Amino acid sequence: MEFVSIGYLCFLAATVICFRISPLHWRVPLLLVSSYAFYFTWNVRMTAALLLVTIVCYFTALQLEAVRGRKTASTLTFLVVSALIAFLAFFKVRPLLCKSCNPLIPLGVSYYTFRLISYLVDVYWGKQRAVREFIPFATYVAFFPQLIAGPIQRESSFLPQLENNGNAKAKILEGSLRMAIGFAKKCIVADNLGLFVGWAYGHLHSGSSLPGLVALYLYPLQLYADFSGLVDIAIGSGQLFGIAAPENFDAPFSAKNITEFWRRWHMTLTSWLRDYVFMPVRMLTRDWGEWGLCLSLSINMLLIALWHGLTLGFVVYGIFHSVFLIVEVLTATRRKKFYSANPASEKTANILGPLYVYHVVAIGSVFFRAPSLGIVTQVFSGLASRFRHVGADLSALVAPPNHHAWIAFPAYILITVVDRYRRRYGFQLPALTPRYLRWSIYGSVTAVWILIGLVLLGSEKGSDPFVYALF
Amino acid sequence: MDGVIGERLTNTFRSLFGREDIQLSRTTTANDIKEWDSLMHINLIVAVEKEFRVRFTALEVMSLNNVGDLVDTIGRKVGALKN
Amino acid sequence: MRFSRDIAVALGAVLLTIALFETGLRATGAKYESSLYESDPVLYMALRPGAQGWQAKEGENYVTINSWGMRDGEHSLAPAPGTLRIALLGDSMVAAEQVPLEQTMAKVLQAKLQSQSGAGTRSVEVLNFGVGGYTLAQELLLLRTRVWNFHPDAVILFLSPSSVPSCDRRLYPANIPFFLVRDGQTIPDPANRAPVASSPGGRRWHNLFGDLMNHIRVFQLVRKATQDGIPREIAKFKGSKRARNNNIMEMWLQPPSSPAQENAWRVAKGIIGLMAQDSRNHSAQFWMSAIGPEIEENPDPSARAQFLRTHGITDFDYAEDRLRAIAAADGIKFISMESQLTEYAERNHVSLRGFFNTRPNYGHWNENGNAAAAAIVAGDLLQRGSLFDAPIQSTQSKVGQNRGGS
Repeated sequence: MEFVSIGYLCFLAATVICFRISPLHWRVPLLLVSSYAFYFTWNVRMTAALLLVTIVCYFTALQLEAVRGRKTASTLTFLVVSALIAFLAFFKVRPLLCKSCNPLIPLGVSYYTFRLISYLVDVYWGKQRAVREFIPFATYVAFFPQLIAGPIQRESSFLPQLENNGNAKAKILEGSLRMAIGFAKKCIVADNLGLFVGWAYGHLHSGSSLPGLVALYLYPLQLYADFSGLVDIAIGSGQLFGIAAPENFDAPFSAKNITEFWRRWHMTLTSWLRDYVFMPVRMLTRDWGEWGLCLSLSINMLLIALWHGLTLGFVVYGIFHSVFLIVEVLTATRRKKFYSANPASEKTANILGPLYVYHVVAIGSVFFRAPSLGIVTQVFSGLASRFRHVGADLSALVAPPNHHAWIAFPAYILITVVDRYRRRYGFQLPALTPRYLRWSIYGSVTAVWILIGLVLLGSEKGSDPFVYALF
Repeated sequence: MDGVIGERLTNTFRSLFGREDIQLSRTTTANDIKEWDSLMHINLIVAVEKEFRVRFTALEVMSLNNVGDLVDTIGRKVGALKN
Repeated sequence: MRFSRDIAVALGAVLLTIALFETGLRATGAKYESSLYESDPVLYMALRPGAQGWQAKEGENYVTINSWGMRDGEHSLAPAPGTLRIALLGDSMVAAEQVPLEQTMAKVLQAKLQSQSGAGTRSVEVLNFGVGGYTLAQELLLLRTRVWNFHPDAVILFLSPSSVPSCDRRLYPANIPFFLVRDGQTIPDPANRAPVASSPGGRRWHNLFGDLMNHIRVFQLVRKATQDGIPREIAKFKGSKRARNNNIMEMWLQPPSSPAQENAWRVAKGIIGLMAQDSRNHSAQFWMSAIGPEIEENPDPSARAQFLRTHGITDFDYAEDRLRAIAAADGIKFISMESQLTEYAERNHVSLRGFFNTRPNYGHWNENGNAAAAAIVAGDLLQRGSLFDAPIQSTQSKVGQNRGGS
């Protein structure tokens, strides 16, 4: 089921209620059962596949621990991890080869495969003890809030939270507010921006530069609102069970260079690839000096891009970002020397940095969004055309059905403010909050959720499919 | 940090990170030094390999949890070289 | 004491939240169905005078109901001297809530006739008595109880695909009035249940609530969610599909295939006959037209052909032809709407139905459809109507006739 649906809300509410009223030793099994039930409503066969893969990895890890130090350990790890990669690759490649097959990738495959691979490799490297109890392990693999779009949590941060049988204080207020922000990001910001961007991509031939501008500058915002909204819902859902998840975004558009951007965008994916791809590859190439570094960075970035899809557009996207990463890394020491000599220029760089980052990201995102390279050229050539017909295009842009989409902008500003507050202070109520304030907040939040439920019930089509749920 | 290996290691750190104030202990990890990120980590390994004339395997590097582990691993390898 | 204060503050916060949400709903342009109807002892259901609200299912339009319960501008009961009045009867196609009033077929027709009135001094008024959801029976009752008060010179009845099926209770289960044909007479069905009308006091509360709801989005949202959303989700959960009334399309395209369908045709003919007779009694011309389903007006000939092939028929004309025959037998002038509309759409490559928030060629007439229909009706009226040749009757004599007649 989609995150933004009345079905998910009812499912989540029911699960949370059962969770809170069950005795402690039932809680983790309940999480497992509900995760599988969630998956089951989507696809029965893939549920069986998930279980199978989980069982295989469970026993593999135990075996790895038994044969630690011997050659069989590396062979076994290599075999199972390769099988997992092949399993994932199969689903990514299938839409390309078989046009008549289902083009969608099964729900969560990218995410749980990554969770399993990181677990096995950590056990192999001795960083993690093989888990003896199957139920917590299977819950780690299949935890439903993180199946739709991550975040990709490591077992070392997830499993300990299950240890007191889910007796961690459930953060109902925080979780529900986090989820509400996610819903708002998705429905008010992302969907409306999507209307503008959709219009732009449908009107690339209009002769003015407006569609190109809209497509270029608004899509990164849409993508961020869509994806971070998704993640907010995922993290918020987990908090309802008292489970904390790692953040996936940290004000990415405030980054001053591309290197920093990738430390603030889709953080769990980049850190995963850093630990399991970049580091090993860099180790292998460490004697090649700067060439080795460039190669490692490129492979890493390319994999980030290809994780999204196996098309030429994504390859170009990966190469595009790699170029900037490499240039930045190679000039890092020189830049540092320059800034310490000229502090004023550092201040300027700090102001211009986010502009530079936004433009690079925006240009790269065209490759991400455009369905083909031909469309990419149309977008950019459209930009080059002069500002003729902008007026006519502007009226077309805001005509029905887009006539209310402008609300995305004030909503985005409001949400950014709320997000910044959350990052700084969190949503916990201080212990000494007076009762009337506490009750007001609880009452308001409950009212908001009832209203959200009504809106979901009252809308015919629900929300647009998440961009990132397709990966 | 004391011991021959410990002293040479501290110097390696100091010249690599460009900071004279770095102090190491057995429990020091990457979290304790600001510039020590994944990129620097590999540079560190390369520098250590050059300094002590040893070679690490990928597995050995990934299994390191703190400076103490690093010192022990260096010690093992140097000892093996001597014998 | 503290307890009640805390509760009061909390409630205040909740109300504030709801108010903010209401602002948010308005800002994001969310619009839900308005309450425009009221219950009526004779008609069972009628447009509520003075009601106004948004229609946002097909296009977006703010609808106002006048003080007489018509989807029209205000009209005086008595026409100004020398005015030619034409009353339009029909369902949602005539009410045309999807387009602004000036773009409805009624008003466009009025403008066209006015500009062509030849004699120059006669002014033309077209009165829109169309009500969404009305059946032939309700249109007959409306004619009898309200339309003649306005002294029209002509009445045009627009049938649509649901008009005939809604004449038989078995094909159209709803609490509305039905008629029967017994011994050659068309009479109200004795089995008609009383309408859900409550006491006048209850009606007042209901109407007040309806008006309140039209101004508060949150209330509309609650109604939409509970009336539409919950059954839809339950049906989805059960996996069942909402049953669609297939009789409507079937009866438009094919001869009756069951006793219920045959009865529906009989009753329809009877009701039309009653309307024609009523018009003769009031010295008014009576015209008829038939509006078909969306597919008939699809500008793409291959789409129409595909539909005909899938349903194993050669044309869309069964019902229209039969209605034309009924008209001819009773001396009623028939306006052949559909063939002209289809040809207009195809020739000009324009969609007569569909809005920015619907599929193309779906639902009710948009601005183009209303205009095209008005042009066709105007053309027929001017050509065959001799409306402007009729002697200008003074209102007094007409009123005298009404009193003396039925």
